[in-house]
Amino acid sequence: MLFHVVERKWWYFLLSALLIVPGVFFLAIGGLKPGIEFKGGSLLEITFVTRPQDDDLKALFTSLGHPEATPQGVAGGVEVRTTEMLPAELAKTEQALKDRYGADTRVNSSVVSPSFSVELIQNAVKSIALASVLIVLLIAWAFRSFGWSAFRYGIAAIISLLHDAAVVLGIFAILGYFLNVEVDSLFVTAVLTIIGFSVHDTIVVFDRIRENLRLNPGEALNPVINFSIMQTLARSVITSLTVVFTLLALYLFGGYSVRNFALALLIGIVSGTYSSIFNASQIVSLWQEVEDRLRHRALTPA
Amino acid sequence: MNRLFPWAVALIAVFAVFIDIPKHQFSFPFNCPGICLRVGGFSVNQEIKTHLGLDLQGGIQLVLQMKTDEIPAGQSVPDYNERARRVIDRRINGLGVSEPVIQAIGDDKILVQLPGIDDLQQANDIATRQAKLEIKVPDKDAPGTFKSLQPPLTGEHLNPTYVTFDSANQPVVNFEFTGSDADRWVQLSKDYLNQPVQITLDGQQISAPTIQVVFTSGRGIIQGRFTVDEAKQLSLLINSGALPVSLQVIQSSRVEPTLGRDSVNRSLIAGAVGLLLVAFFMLVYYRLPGAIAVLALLYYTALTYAIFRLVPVTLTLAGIAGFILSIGMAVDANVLTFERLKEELRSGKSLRVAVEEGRKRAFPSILYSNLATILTAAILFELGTGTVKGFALTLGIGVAVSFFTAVIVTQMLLHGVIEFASLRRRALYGVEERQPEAARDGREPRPAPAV
Repeated sequence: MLFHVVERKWWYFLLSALLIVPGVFFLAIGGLKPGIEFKGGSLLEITFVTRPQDDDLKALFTSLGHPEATPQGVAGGVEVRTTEMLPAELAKTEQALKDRYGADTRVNSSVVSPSFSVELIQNAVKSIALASVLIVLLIAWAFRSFGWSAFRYGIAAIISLLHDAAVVLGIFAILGYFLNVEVDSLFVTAVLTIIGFSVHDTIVVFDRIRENLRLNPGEALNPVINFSIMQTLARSVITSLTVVFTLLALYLFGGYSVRNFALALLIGIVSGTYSSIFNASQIVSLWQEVEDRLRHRALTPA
Repeated sequence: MNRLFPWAVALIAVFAVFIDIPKHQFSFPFNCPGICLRVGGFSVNQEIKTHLGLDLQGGIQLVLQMKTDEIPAGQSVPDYNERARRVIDRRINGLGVSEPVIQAIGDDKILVQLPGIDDLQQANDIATRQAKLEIKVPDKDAPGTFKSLQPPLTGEHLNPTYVTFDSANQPVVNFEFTGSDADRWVQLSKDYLNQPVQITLDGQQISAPTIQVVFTSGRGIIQGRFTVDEAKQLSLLINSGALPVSLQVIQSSRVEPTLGRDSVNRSLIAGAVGLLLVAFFMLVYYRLPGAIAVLALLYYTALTYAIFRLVPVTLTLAGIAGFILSIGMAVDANVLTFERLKEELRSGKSLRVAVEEGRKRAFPSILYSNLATILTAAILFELGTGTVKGFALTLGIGVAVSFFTAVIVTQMLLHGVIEFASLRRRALYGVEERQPEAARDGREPRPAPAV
């Protein structure tokens, strides 16, 4: 069984673009909704014995001085978002909820001051930047035997890593735009994990290319890449499948608070597998083709 | 492979299972809740239990920001942070919370976690009430108001206070100045006889009793129409000392214990389902090696959980997610090995050679790919806070352990299995019986030649 996954690279690039472009569009128009961790404010997760009307809930919060409160029904209860509440105010609010809707009303609350959220954003950006730099170095080191061309493998890995991050961010921007899905520090964690995974997958393919290049000196690059991808195809698909299984279990049974986290990881893992099979090595191949063409042009008299 | 390996691996397995078993169910060989050893002067007494994070057992978490502009120039901020943490620690100890967490975040922030505490208002008071007790005297220039003495008479030098009941059966807080402050207290009663003095906490009046006799010692009482609980809390706050600097709550979260328990159950179900799905898939797809992978996976789960209990790693929802995710990843190293094994077998090698070759060939991929994940986990752990840290820690430990199980345990089992003639049939490894090399596409380069 042999597919020509290298020759048809433009088709695969096109498919990636079809996924990424709408996502980037929604990212650009501000589809990605920051959670309270990143913009400050309060989030109350309320579990009722019998769920009241949202209007009734809204009226209660308005009477407590929070007319901006937005009740939103979720699996198992209602989430209410307001501006930052101080602990004393929060304690009062919880009491008011219990007084009105029964003592069995359960409230989980989480409040982040806007000043703190700025720091959390900085941390998120810092960790993504640091992770990317270290991963480039790791790849360059892992493929040091390629000499200078190790960098083109490194850059190809980075592009496919950015591809996966863009897919996840884009889909969450779309989800945020239409369904008000918010992103929090767990989402950042998911993106970083996806980055790690994507590189993990790409390294396995590149490692094979390296081995086959060593064993077949003088062979053209494209067939070697194609063959290497075929050799690692089963592994890539099976590994992703097992991870997808565990993530599906987490998504379906893990409870509401980890659901979006599991979803982000699911999207990222699938995208990571796709990009490691259909994008990463194809970039290396493209690079070689462009280089060959340039060299050819330089050698051919005009 | 070294002949001692199987024994070491088995020993680790027994140890891990021993750690994993909830201790209350049996007390062999030591009648203690964990590892208890005493060899000469050296003794270990480590309790072994699963530590659940606030989101799983319920409780309150606060992140406090120090008002650093209150700190005099030239004084070190971390120093004030440590002093503030000591005060909060004393206060929380007085409450009897089990396993509270009081940590510095950076220089100017403090993380406080109070498992099992439900009352947000109380938690807030404990963490942010400055508790500066001060006695103020009537201001002659502005009748009806009070002013500080020079220097102020504060609660800095007090014997431990305690709660008693006065003649009207109202709770009161008893205090006693020590040293020179006791003399000042006596002098004050002479200077302001038959006048009211004001007892303030953080600038707010608690009571303003009129001095009726000249005191003979540093003793006094605070009456303030308290409930018993309020009096106790006031006494605790004064005894624990005043915070050296004001603190402000910049993040708070509170989880109901019942909702936390619900999350634990859900995570357990998710983990079990994930494990079963993966095990089923591996068995169907890889047959005999699949069974080995399942064994290795169980080994991995037992060992990782034992490490969580030993270190101990506090398990949070995100942490459990990291653990479940690492189950999926632990399989990867096995898959890499088995795919190589199949390839080697297909190229016509004997089982024994193929197992050894498969191990060698798969190793670099396993090493570098695991390194990439561990690197990410390390960064997340270093830069993340709370939830993210928990996830990074369990993921990192998970990947490290999976490296060990895939490289050592799976290999050992594979080598063990091929010693049995009946288990040497190639079909058991998902490969057809010996056949000539498959016809290949003409453009395809030759694969690795047999070594």
